[in-house]
Amino acid sequence: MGRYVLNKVLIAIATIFVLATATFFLMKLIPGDPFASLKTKAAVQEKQREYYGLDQPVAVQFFRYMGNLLRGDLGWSMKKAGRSVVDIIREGFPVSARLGLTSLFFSVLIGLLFGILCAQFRNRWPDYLLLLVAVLGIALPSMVLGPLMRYFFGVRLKWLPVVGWGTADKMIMPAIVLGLGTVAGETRAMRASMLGVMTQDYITTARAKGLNGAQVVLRHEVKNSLVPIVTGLGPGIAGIMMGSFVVESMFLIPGLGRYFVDSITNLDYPLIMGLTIFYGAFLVTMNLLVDVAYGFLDPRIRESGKKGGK
Amino acid sequence: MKKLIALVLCCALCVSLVPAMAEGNVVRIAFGYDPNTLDYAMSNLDTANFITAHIAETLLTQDASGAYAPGVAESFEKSEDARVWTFKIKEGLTYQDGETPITAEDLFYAAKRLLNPDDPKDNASFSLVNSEEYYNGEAAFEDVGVKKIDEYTIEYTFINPTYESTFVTASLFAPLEQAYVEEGGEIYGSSSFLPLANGPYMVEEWLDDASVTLVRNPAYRDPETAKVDAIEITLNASADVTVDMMLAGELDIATMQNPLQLQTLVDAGFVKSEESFSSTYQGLNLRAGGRNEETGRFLSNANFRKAINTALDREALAASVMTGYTPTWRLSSPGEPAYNANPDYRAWDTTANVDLANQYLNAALEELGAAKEDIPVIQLMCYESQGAIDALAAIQDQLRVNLGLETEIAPCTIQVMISNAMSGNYDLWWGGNEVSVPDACESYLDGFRSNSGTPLRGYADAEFDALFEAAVSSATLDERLANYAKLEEYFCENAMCIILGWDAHYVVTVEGASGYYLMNGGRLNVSGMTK
Repeated sequence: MGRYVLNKVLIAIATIFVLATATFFLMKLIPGDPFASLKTKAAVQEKQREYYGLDQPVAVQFFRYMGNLLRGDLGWSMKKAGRSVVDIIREGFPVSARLGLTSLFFSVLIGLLFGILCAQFRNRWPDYLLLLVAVLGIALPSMVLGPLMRYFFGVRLKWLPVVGWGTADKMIMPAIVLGLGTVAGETRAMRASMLGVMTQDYITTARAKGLNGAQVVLRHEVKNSLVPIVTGLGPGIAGIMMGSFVVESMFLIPGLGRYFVDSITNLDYPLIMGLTIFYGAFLVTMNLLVDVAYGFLDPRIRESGKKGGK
Repeated sequence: MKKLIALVLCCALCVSLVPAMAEGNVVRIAFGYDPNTLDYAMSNLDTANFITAHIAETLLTQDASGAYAPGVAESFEKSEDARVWTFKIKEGLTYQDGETPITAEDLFYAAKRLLNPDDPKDNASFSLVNSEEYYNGEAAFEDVGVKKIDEYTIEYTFINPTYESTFVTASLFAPLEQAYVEEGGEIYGSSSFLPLANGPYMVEEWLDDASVTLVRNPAYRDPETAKVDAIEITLNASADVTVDMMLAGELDIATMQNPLQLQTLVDAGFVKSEESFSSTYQGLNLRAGGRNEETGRFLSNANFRKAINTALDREALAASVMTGYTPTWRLSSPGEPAYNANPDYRAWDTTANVDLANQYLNAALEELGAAKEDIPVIQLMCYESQGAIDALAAIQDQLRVNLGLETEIAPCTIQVMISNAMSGNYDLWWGGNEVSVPDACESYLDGFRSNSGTPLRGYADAEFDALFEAAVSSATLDERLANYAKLEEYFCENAMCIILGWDAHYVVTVEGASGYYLMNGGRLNVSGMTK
């Protein structure tokens, strides 16, 4: 088992290295100059390029960056003076993660409930109604839904603050907007999974044994329908925890989402690298944990690792 | 028990849903960006400028009437040619801690730090004698035009005559305590290491990308200046978010440009300022050298440029794709000192004059010995936003219909656009240039000189150079404005740039608000605001 885990860890490290290398060189291919500005004197821009080592050959810059990365130094933002990339991630990630997890928790809960109801009322009006809601959740982009919610609940009804972060009431609207797509996806997935399970022999057996409807649904149908749903949640969690540019911008949430776009627009090289490596490492770690968990749960998997995949 | 818990949770939820009300005389305002830094040597975004205007007192300050009044300085003397300025600093001033004294050393250090070539600062400027030479390693700092005469006296020597408006610039003329700045090191000016305020307010809290709260500086020399208890600034708010926040009662004051958004607020009972202020000259930056020899041949011809300038219908553009802009008839916008000094001047019509435009075009073709078919496709470069592309599409249409001129729109990312501009790789470029005080010489027209040291504009016009030199060498402000009028007329009449709209902003407030005012560059000051 130890060898299996070691193997997976080495693959994860190699993946992050490849990701960092590819990002570094792709980033350098983006045209433009991070210090080009009409407000700053040309002589100053020249000195700034020297200061950040951008006057050096790309290969030198790469090895210097990798050396710093090995020491855990992701560098300083070129645009947010006085802030290191690590600081930006340390402050922004918990905000995005908190919003993402809250949104995910409620949207999965609602999505599962909708899915169960759809399956139970298959091809009847509750099924159609809830599926319509689900389709709307996918069809309505957050940039439409967000301002509408802001206007109705913030401006007209004054039930919720229009924007902001820090209190529970400020999280309600962005969590809904962020999670509506997940609700839709989970509803459809759960409905399909439930419909598959409902036709299984063991469900017929359970009913034949005299269990009532609720017991059959909760103990057998829901439980067995959840397996594919849970499998698909892994990447979803990673994605939603990293923040959303649109939702964070719309509700003024100081998360990480906006930096993914702003860093590229501003050609803030250290921030582009730092965010990509952080996101990549997070995804790889999640996958690693899943792989290791599979290894523990299924002896065939760890044995296949030992025999070189045969 | 379960019912009790449910009741408590419901009560807690209800309490949390009640919007927080501002207590005391608090002014709430929103800006589109995080300040990024409050290091005066680095900050240049609107948000940072607003905060700096409240926390940093410079040698001179600007009062509600727009006049320059003593700030850190008690008095000053200037040489006859207005190049040497000597300031006597008030004794007994301190930073916000109430202990650290402000002396001439702090202003000397601010200059030295701003010009340090080993730690390049965005706002470094070379108006002082030998400053550029020092920056380039060709002179010692002792040769730079800043001298500490004694503990409370400092002297500046400028290359060109200088006026009072210069000394409200925080990057060079706000004091910095060396030990404190050096203690902050790399993080000085960030939310982790805030600057020591010496103005009427100080930063109480800065939550990155969320909010900044300013409170009264207890050590400020004149406590009466700060009538507002606190200023709460929301960051990263787009214009539509700002409108929603105003309507929801979460803001007290905002600056707005979009007429529809302004009307929405006015309809809801908010008060719009009578006067607008311009922050930029928006239009087509023109490179006389073109992006290549072929286009440069035509763009360097004054009649060809005038044809383009005259063929454009600025009123139609303002009514469609440039909403919020005032159609221009010259460079300086109403309200600027340079405009007020020459108020009757009109360089062009705000609508297109097709006949005149074609006359200019024919004259250009004759001068160049070319036919209309020889005119190459002129590139229109812009930032890849829909608004910019729409504006250029309308301009493209007008040039095709009114002049028979073919153009191509080239959208690109902001960094590519600026890189292309800085390296002179463009024909016409959709962009804005900041309005400044007393005129546009140093901030804008400087780049049109033959020896500007940058390929940005590509001009080589001796007459313009001479007029520019006369303007910046003027010993008094009146003389400067008179000389500037000649420079501006030459600039406009030769269509050295296609200025299309003045970016007109209005201040919108809750009903009954008063006491705010605009400083140079459209910086809002709300320290005296009541509501």
